[in-house]
Amino acid sequence: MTQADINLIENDFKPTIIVFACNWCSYAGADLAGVSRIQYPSNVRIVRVMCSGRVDPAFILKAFLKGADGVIVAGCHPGDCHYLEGNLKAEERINNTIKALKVLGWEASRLRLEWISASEGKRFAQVMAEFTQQIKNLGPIKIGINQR
Amino acid sequence: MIKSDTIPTKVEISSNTTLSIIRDCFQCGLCTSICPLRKVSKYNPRGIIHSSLLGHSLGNDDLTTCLTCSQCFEECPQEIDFPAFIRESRSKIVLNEENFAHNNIFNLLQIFMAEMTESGMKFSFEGEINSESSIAYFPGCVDLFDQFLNLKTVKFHQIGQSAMNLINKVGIKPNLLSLKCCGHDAYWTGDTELFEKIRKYNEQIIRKAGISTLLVSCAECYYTFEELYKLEGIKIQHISQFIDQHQSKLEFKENLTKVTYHDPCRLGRFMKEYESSRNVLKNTGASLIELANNRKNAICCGVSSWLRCDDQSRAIMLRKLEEATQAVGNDGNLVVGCNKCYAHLNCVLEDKKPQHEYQLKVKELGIFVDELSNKNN
Repeated sequence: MTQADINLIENDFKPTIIVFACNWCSYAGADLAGVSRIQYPSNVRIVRVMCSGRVDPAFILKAFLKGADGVIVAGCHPGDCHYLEGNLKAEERINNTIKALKVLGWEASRLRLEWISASEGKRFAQVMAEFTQQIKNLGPIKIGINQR
Repeated sequence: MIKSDTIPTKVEISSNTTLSIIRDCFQCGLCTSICPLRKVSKYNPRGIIHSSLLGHSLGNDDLTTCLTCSQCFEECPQEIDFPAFIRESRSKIVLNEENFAHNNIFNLLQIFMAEMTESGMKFSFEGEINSESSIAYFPGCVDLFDQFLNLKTVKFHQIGQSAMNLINKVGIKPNLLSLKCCGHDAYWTGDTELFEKIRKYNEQIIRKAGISTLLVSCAECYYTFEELYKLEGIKIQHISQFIDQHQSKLEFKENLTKVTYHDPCRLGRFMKEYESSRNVLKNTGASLIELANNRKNAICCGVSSWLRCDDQSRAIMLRKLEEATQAVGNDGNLVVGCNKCYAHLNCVLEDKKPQHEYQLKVKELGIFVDELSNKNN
């Protein structure tokens, strides 16, 4: 058994993380991380949206139901929104979704809202690394646990 | 899980169970003439039955538009259960996601509850709770409505809080059960598999709690627990029946409130419970004025199972508000016994889309009674 095999068995869990990144700040931030050659975990899958305010709670629930282990919604810093107050709307929506997940008795820490600007490539990588580690600690989500 | 895309989006009505529901139809057209949707659109239950009997397939629009309010079943001389036919047909296709209101969020929440969470919904209400009581209270999905409906004038949490206040006022400390959603919407949108999952979980929790009475605020919960769960040895009570039973222990302030009552379809036509809410309202000292269409003729609130909140639904809601305003005027109250009716009617009242001038207040039965009753018994 090679070292790689042992690693696979011991550290089998590779979380799937969906990032909804806004076109104007966070997606550009991810781009900057890329062109600056900053490494961040490859589990992260980025979905570009025109504004973080576009992300409906339904998208988030659907991501989880289709097997995402964690979801980040990333937008411009408050006051910097390309559409003036789209990110504030996103904040309200995500907070409501987190509250709803708590009512359902589910780990709301799998969902996070982050402000990442276009110049913060390094921060983008940091946030992704940290969040991936957090999800790894939580373990994979369980779908279909009530099927008996 | 979310249904796969391989299931057809049109349904051929060929199976015997579905066809046997409508076989006796002799095309008198009473259903179409009474249908609340017919008054605002070209929806035609008779036509749908007719084309199904001829072997044509039904599309998404035919199936999702029906409100399943059962007014046609009430009138039908041949006793054809059109809502049941619609439900059976829905279970054979995948309903288009665009037909669900609020981006399908409430349907997704139901799937989420069935697939992902190990426990039921967590509630926190002020008041005295006794976890060994033989009476349990379940408020329904009120806390979820609060998060996703964004109504400024209405807090759905208050439905549960008022009911708790009332239960405590008559001297009972209820058990607060942590159930999942009752599954009404899963059942009526045709997702029988999802409904069965939720039902199994809930039944287990209800049995484990060792209760004899389950008290619910929502007419849909009442119908679902009573008719679909068929829990032997456990009495399901709607909040109106509970207050009616304990009326002597409540005292009310003197008031000149004008009030009218909207019969929810699940409580009225489905469960034939018309009088207890009216008894409760009369006993509060408020003057009860009936709507023009009441009891079994009551018009639906306009949306069911979060399907299709569109222009037609809004037109029906406005007719309801118009009817209520004619009965009690702009300073009166329209009381409903169902969380969903409360949500829908308040939404159109607050949203002002389409533009309207109605000023009356829509209140849930528990909230209305709690506001009028004296604080200290």
